[in-house]
Amino acid sequence: MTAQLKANRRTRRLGLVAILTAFAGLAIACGPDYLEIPIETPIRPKLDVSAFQRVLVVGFVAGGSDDVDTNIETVRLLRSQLRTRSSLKVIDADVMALIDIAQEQSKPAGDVPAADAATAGGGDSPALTPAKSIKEEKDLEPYERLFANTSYWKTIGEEYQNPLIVTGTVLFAPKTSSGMVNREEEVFDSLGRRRVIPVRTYMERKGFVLQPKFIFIDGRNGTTLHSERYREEILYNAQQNTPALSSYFELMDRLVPNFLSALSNQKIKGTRVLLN
Amino acid sequence: VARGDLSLGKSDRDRPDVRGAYNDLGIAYEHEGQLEKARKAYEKALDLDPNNMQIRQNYELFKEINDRATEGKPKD
Repeated sequence: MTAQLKANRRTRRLGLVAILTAFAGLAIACGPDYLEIPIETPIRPKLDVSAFQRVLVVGFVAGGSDDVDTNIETVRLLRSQLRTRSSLKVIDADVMALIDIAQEQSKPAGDVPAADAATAGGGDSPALTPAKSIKEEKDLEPYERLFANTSYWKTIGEEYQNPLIVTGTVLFAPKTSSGMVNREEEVFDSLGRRRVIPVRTYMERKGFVLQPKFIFIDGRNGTTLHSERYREEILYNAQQNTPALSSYFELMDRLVPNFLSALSNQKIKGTRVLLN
Repeated sequence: VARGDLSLGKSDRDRPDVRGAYNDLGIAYEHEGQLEKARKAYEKALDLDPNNMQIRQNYELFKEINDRATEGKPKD
């Protein structure tokens, strides 16, 4: 196994040397002293998931826009990505409505120590009550209690034979913005030659912001193994009418490689400038 | 440099091919997934030629990936 890995690495290294040599030769032949080349950077996973054979994307506390069912769409998308781009077997189960579950759990007062309740919301007790309708980031805070409830996640883990559990919060909300923006303008000189010049103009724009927090829970004991937050936004010209769902997928497309890099080896494609 | 030795003699500091070699070594290490070695090589290249836009661009792109790879990584 180790020998095979070493052989693979060696092959890869020789491949890169060949590519670099070919590009360097080309650069010398063509004249310029630098050349842009494509590279793929392999990234090792942040989490050691070797103890798990299966993954359960259980559901998300989601809100922001009424135009997209962010919980359902996020679960579908992540399950499909994990199926094709990770070694874990994806469990097909009904998507959980975690908002309802958190509401239910918040009813008995004995579950949360009084000290925690006082500090979690900065002493403001109404902020600790999970809001059924989530419109902004602070509405998500009371739901943190659900993710810290190890006995609940242990029960879920037992039900599905101890998988890695993926859950968290997702806020997908409309956003408007106005101000000066940079854009490129095409101009032609007296000889008809085309040039692109940067121009600063005032624009009113609208779009969406996506703020997911992915939480990875050990289904064997209900503890949180890892969590990570992301924020992406997209803005369009105010006159442009882009459906919320396509904006959601565009923003998730940017985040999915980050999500997957927590669980499995990923290759990030890019370009670099070779100098010699 | 070809052997991955990041130490440098005084006389080598002013040689543009040496500066370029550190940059290219950074790219090779990055392609190999050896991010710590790639960082050292890029930083060495920038140390020798701080105003080189190509090296800086490579380093910024590398840092973005390196940050993503290490951000929130749980301690073993």
